[in-house]
Amino acid sequence: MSENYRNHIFWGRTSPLSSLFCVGLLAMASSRFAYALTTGLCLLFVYCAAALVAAGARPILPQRGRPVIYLFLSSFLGSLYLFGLSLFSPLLAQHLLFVIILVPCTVIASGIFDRLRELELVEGAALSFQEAGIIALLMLALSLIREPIGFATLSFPGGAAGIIELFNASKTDFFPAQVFAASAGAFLLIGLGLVIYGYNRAPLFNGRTGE
Amino acid sequence: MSTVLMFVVLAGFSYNLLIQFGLGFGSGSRPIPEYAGPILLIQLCCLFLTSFCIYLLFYLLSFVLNLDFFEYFLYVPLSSIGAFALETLASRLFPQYDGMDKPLRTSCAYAGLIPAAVFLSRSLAPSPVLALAVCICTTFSTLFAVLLISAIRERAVLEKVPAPLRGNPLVFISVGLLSLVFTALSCVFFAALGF
Repeated sequence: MSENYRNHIFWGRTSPLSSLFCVGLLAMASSRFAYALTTGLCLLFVYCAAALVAAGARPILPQRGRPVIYLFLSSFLGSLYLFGLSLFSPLLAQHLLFVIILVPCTVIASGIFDRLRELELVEGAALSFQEAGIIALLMLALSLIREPIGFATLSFPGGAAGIIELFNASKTDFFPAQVFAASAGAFLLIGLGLVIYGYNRAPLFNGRTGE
Repeated sequence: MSTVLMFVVLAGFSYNLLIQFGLGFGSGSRPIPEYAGPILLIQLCCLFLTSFCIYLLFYLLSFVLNLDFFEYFLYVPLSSIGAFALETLASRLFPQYDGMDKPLRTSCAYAGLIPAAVFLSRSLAPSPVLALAVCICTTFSTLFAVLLISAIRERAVLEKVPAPLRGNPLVFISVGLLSLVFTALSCVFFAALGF
């Protein structure tokens, strides 16, 4: 049983919630749903495009110095997305500048390029899409908790201000639940999420949590 | 002076962000072994030097070129290359520490810490003197964050903690509470400084 789950995309040892390589991005990008959606799309774009290019150009890439090429490649793709986003919404691009800079870091830290070494082009693209999709879904789920509780609203990308608020239920300036929208709230929620994740994961590994 | 103080406080405020990077990429989520103290100091020196050198590079380039988006594109690769070069130099200078387990992982320029420091100094500091203050404070807040998380993990081993909370969940919840305290403190600082 545990062998089946060792390399599982969600429960395995290299999964986003096991290796925790994406928590910084999760905490920062999930304060608003609009930010989470935009960053999630960026993550999907950078992951998949980088995997496709890396797998396609494998025969011509030199053995030594590949990590540096991957670094430049993922950073270039990140900045390309940022450029596209700035054409669509300059304010949103300005808000998310810092987060989007970190997307290439997340892609490199995930170790996806090492795992792609043994895979074919289509398999590699599918794996990248799944991994990026899981992180993007986690980001969206977290933002769906944080934004309504923290800001009493739900936002989408668009409009002159970069985001459109569907509703705004906060009547006063004093809003104690706003802590959930801050990084402190993100850490608390991620901590609680990890408790649930570990609780459900332990039986799959015959009682071992992987700690 | 108050401007410098403001930047220093802002760099201290970046503590929250630094913890995010450290934890997010697995650097701070494991205990630091006793022998790793000098290695941590060497890594912090590399962090400071790399971030300040990259700041200086872009500061000087800004007089000649308007890099705009390309500047952000270059943060991560330059940080990685700079950190790797300095660590290689450090391993030549201190061969006794070569091959030991490092407290901060080098895989992606200290897990985003250097790009974060460069971004902060480029966004906040208009002159190299202020950038120096921001880079020093960022380095110290990294040291503080790493030691704090290590201490939390050590205490968590010694105390009776419910099984599902053991390990990373407890660290995250503790860091969340600490982050709350630091956010409140920085708000007080900003109010005192009139911002």
